[in-house]
Amino acid sequence: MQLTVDLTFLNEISDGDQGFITDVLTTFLEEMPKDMDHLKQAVQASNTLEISRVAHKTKSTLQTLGLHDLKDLAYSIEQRAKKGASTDELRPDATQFMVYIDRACAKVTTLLD
Amino acid sequence: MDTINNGIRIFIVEDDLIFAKTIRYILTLNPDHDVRVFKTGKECINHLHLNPHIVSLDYSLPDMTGADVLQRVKAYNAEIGVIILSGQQDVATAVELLQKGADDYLTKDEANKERLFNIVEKLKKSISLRQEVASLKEELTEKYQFNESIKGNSPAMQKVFKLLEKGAKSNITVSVTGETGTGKELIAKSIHYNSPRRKGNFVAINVSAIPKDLLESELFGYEKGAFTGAATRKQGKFELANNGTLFLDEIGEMELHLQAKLLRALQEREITRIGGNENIKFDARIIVATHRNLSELVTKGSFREDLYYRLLGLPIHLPPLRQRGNDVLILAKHFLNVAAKENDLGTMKLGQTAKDKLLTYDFPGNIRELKAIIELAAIMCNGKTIQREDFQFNNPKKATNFFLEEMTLREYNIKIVRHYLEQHDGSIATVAKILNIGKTTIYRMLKEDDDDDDFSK
Repeated sequence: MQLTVDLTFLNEISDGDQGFITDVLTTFLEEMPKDMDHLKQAVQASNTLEISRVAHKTKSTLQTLGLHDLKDLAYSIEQRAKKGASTDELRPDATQFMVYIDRACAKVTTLLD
Repeated sequence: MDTINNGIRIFIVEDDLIFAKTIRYILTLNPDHDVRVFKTGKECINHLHLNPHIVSLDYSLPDMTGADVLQRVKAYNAEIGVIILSGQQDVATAVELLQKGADDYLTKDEANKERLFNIVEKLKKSISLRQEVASLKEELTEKYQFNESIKGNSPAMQKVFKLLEKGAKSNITVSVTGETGTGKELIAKSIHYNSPRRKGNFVAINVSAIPKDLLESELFGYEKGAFTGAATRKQGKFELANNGTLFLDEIGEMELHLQAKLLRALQEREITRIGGNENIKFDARIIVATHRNLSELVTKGSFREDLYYRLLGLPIHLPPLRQRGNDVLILAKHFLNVAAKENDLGTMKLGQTAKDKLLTYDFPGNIRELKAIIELAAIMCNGKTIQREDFQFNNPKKATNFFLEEMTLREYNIKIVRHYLEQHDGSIATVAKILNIGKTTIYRMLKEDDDDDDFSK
């Protein structure tokens, strides 16, 4: 799993506007833990619909920060949940996903320091 | 919706805050864009009163589906441009939303600066065009207000005005009859632009002006390859008039085989393009016009009886100008004002001799002829007041057709009397002297002729 944060897209669209990039990274650190809490609760409640929704929501953020492998994992969870996979079947990937997100947050924090 | 010349309001409906911030950043690079972000479908719908021009919509939201939000946005105002943003893997869903009325779509991994600007610029142009068309239609509606477009106070026209109002308020088929030049198309347009269908198209086709071989394809359209030269699919007039009005002028000239197809289209409210199999529904009001007597054509067998009754609907007969009394002066003044304005001639008026002349001429070409006469007189006049010498009456029907038409002796007599009255400024005394008949005889002949015209209506 490649967990490199790639800011090429953000630099391209903002012509290297550091204020904007810092804002996006800060928002990532604020929003991702909330999403992961929702995912954790959904897994605990065996709510596959919510699992699918949270996975769907994170995809574009992960893509924006160049975290393509994580985005693919989110897509896989979303699709399997939509196709009727049980929570037990989804749990391993969902748990792994939360761990990776935690690591990605640590990397983003480093970038902001 | 506000005109886009004052700036563009864009709503971003997106629950992914980072993606929303990215899109907002890109779009606000253009200072004309006022961009607002909403995290849920409901938030967006609750703010539609702010009248966005464009809504960028994530197809999957926490509280509503993209299809639901799209439906609510378009129901609020169909003019709002909606862009669907979806993941690469969800293109099928985005395409489905396009079919449900979205204006464009973009996958999120393609949402870079260039693509976003292109798509927004494309929508801005489309909105601008729609606004322009709406504005022109409003102008047309004003132009075709009954009292603005149709001039006249004569009792005959008062009857017409009453029928026009009935016709405009309803959805009934209207059949307009009257001599050439009495303004049948103007009547049709006025009904359309005063009716609830005014936002739809007014589509006119003159049956007698289209070559017989082409009329069917003009009316019903054709599929690509339907015949030699059909290089692309073409919509016919019925489809173009959908939600509007289809005006079939000179309907009496339509050939019998096409009448059968027209009847079927009117009965079923659907057409089939030439070379096609698909039945296409249409919703258009039909107005027909003719200078011929359709019931006579039915008797002769050249017009289908069933179609005649289908088209009769609300009949409106336009009187010839010679039966409209002082309306000729009202119309003449109107045409003179327009001609003077168009030719920078200042304020012009009609002198007494000109008025007298107009009141006694019988205008075989009706209003169209009057307009031509007045326009020419305005140009030829040396001063600001038009006199009888400024008029040139050039109606080709008059001399050439005199003996070509089959008429009764009585009708010839009346024609002779009217001819001399025109030559002598309507002076009955002079004409009576020339023709060596009594003035009372002339009055009686004219009255009988007018009564006959009234009866023939």
